[in-house]
Amino acid sequence: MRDQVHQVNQPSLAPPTRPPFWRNATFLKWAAQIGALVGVAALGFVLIGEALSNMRAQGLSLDWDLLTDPPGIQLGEGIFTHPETGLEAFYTGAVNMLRVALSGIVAATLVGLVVGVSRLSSNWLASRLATVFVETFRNIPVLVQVVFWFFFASLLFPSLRPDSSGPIPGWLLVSRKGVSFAWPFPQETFWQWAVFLVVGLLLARRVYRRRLFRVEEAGEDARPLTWAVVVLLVVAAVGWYAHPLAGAVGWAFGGVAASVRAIPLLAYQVILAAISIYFGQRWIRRFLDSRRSPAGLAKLTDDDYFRMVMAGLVGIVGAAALLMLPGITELGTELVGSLLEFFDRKFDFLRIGAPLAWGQPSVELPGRFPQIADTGMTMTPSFFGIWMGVTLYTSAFVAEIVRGGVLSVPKGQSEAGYALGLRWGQLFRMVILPQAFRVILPPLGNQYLNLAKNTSLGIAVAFPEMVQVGQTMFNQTGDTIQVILLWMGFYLSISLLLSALVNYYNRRTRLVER
Amino acid sequence: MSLQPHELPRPSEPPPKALRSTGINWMRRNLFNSVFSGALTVLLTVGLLVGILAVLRFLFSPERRWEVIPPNAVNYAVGSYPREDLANVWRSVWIIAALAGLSTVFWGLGGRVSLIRTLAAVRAAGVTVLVVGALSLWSPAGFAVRSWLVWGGAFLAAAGWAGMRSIREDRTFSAASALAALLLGGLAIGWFLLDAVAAQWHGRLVVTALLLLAFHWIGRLAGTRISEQTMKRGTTLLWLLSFPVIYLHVQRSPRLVWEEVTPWLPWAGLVVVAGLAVIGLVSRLGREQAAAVNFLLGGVAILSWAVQWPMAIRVLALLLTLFSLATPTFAASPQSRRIFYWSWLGGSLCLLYFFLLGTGSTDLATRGEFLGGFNLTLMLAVGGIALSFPVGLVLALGRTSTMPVFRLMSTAYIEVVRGVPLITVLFFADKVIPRFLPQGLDFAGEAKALLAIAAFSAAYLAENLRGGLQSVSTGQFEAARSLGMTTAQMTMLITLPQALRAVIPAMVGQAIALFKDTSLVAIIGLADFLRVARDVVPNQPDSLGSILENLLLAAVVYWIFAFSFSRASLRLEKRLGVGTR
Repeated sequence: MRDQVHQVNQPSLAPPTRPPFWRNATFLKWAAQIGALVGVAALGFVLIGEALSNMRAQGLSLDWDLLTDPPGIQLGEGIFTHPETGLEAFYTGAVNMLRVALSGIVAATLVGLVVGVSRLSSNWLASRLATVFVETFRNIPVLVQVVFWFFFASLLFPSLRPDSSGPIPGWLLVSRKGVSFAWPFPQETFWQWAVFLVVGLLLARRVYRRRLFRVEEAGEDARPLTWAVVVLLVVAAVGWYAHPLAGAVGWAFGGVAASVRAIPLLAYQVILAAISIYFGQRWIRRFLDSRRSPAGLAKLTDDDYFRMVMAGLVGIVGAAALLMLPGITELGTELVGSLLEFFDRKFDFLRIGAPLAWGQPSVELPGRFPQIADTGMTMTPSFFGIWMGVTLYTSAFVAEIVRGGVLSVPKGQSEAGYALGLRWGQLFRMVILPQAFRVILPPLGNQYLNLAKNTSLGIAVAFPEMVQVGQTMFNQTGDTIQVILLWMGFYLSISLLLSALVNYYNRRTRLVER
Repeated sequence: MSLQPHELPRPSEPPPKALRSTGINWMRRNLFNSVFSGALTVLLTVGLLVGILAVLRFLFSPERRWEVIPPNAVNYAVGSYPREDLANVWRSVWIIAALAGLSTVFWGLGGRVSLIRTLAAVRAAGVTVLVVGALSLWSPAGFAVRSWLVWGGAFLAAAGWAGMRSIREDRTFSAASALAALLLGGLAIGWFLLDAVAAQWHGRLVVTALLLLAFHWIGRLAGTRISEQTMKRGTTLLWLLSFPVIYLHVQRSPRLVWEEVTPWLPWAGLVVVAGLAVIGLVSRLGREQAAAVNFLLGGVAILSWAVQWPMAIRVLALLLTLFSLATPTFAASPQSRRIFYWSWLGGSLCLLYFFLLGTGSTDLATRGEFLGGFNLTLMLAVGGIALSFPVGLVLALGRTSTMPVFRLMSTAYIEVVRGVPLITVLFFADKVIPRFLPQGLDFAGEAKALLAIAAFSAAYLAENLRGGLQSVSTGQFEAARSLGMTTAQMTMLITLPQALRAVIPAMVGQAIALFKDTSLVAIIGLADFLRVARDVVPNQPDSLGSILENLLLAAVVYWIFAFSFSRASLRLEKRLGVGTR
């Protein structure tokens, strides 16, 4: 202590000596980090080497033949029930998984919204029942629920007979072989009609905004929602008959596809590599610009240097990979081109007929045993099990999130709304829900992610989603590492996509504060 | 709100009719407060009655085979644990009972539970059971079940009602007698249920209950001599130790082969004694010399992996290096030095003990799977929480660290693990870990599942902990820095205690999620509780096709545990007062 005081009072004349490098905090930090990086890399190297030699001893290798070879497996349902290649099998699994996830997200949101609002209801019975619902379904493991609903459907539903027509003939058929219900199936002209729907939606949005402006500014009773719905319905009705006009869209797609194919691969590679480098340097430049404060650039920390080096590296490595591995660019242009051609094939001036056709459930008798015919929309017991399980489980959590969000809106807001003469429904729709939505959205996005990941439990009820297909595959081939890498890639990209969407909406709906 | 004086009801007058708390008024306020609400009530009542009837028809249908469950109680509890060694399982139950008895001292049973709320809950339960009993007249339920439901419900409702009434009218004596009647009734029902399920274990259950009571009183007596903090710490330590003791020693019952141990045991003892000396030395040295000693020790510890020393010595040397590294920071004063001596002694001896257990061969292990049923579920849940906590802590510290490489690695781990479903991590552990090990070497499936669950849960726990770390205000760091604390001291003494307190509720939530997620090990073929319910019992010849009954039982058991944990966490949250201080 005394030394320090001494030093402060009488600056010594000798020039300040730098501490030796082994007592330099910056050096020590970087030494530890580089040491850790080297250690992890070495461990990974040793483990992978061991794995490779083990696999060689068992006659396996780390190639991707499983995607192109015939897998020799059968899948319970989906696009390809007898896949010719491994890629087809995984494609079927992915689409099945998305079917469960998307329909589950919609259903869980609706159920959760109703239950969450009921929990806050002034009606004692409604709030108690909602509480029982939430506490029941969120405290039982989702796997138990999935298995239970599967066996419930396959044991307790009535068995299918040739004359079965279900509880609501023509609309709903419930049997041990599945639940089938009436559904409007899109026909070959659906895409042409969809163009009109998109146009209608855009128009409706515009009308809604204009009418809302008149409500807010002029105080007129301009009925924005009614007008928007009427506009959408009118455009949809016109499109129902006029849809062949949209065949022109097909030309556009076809033309773009042809020009995409016409440009040589090397041009794409060079352009993409340049873009990669440009983004890297733009990131660094913007970062430096953001630090160009009076304090100057001298305050850059290790962290900042690390970030800049990483950004530069990512840009350069990306460019190098694009130039040296033409396969990446080829795959990209191939995908874009075939997507455009896919759309091209969906449109034609000469294609006429209704865009949607009503399909009703029915039973067919191909051999000795009756089957549910393809005429309606059918849920197999496996689909029913996984869908019911994840939907009910997630909806309990969604209900709690909705309740928390509604409770987070200050009481003064609803009092003010009532004072303005709003009815309960109006108050909820126009005052409470928009404010609660901001609080609800981030955890809701998390629950959607959880639901998407929980669809992987379809394996317990033999529902051919991604994990079940993968497990069947590696039981055949022994390629566990490749399958697990595929799973990781699939689920990670879904997670990234969903969280990007949630972040986007989060930014859109965030309060703009001064 | 300003009330005019004449608007206030005078206390001598009874309140106006509309405000009196009668059943009709209650219904008017809570069920029929508007046209919409009234319609909803009617609709929901009809729906509820139809729903309850459907459930009763399902539960009491002659096709249901509930009688298959009691004979399989042992299967559910321990899976295929060898039946002649069941005494081991009972021993572990008794250890847990004794520790639970010690812990009840801190729960402050009695006093905190509101009597009137309990009685209200009893009354509500009674009315519910009564209504269900009345509805069961239209179901295929047998006469005995119906009478049990009706009379039991009536008894509960009456007891709750009488108790509440006597408390409201301040007749303490009759409230107490209502409670006593309830307790007796509950005991009788409990005994009846036990008789149906576990008649052969009366004696052992009585021992369990007695141990619980005895250790509660031992704890109370000890509490008069030792400070509450010491008691709490000691009990926590015992709980932590109980897990490896139960699963490595009591239930595994290893057999020590002295010939295998004798070559290295004396050396290990020497390392333990030398450790005491090293800690004493390092704590007295200056920083530079201490660093030199630590460098030397670390070198020895790392080199010991290159030369083929016995594994126990290598691990002990690593532990000693860790202790010695922490010594200059945490054992400067004589008092903390004494604590450090004891921690080293305890830590190294425990390590040695578990090493002896881990290497000892066991009869049980050679007979195949010895962990199963609810025992395995519990092991995975408790072990998963215990293992994931340190890993999650390291990951959270890494993610909030100022060092970019550590942050990048932690973030990558956390985001990748959180982005994939647990089942893929389980498959990774089950199928890929053996690929990374030398040919022919593999862990037990239970150990791999435990590792996978802990690795998975650690990522989520790290995110919770990160929230806690970020909630500590900057002023705290500045204060610590101005006191001259090092980064390690600041983290251990300032940041972590505050961060942990803030995230305890979130961590309990994570623990409940982990408990539910253990059921996924059934998919990779381990015989946990769910697998016993789904595959084992329903496939026995005398209980074929009873799968829905078994699944419902599994659902109820999981529900009871998860629900009571979540209620306990709510109470904990209130007691900690997070966010209200």
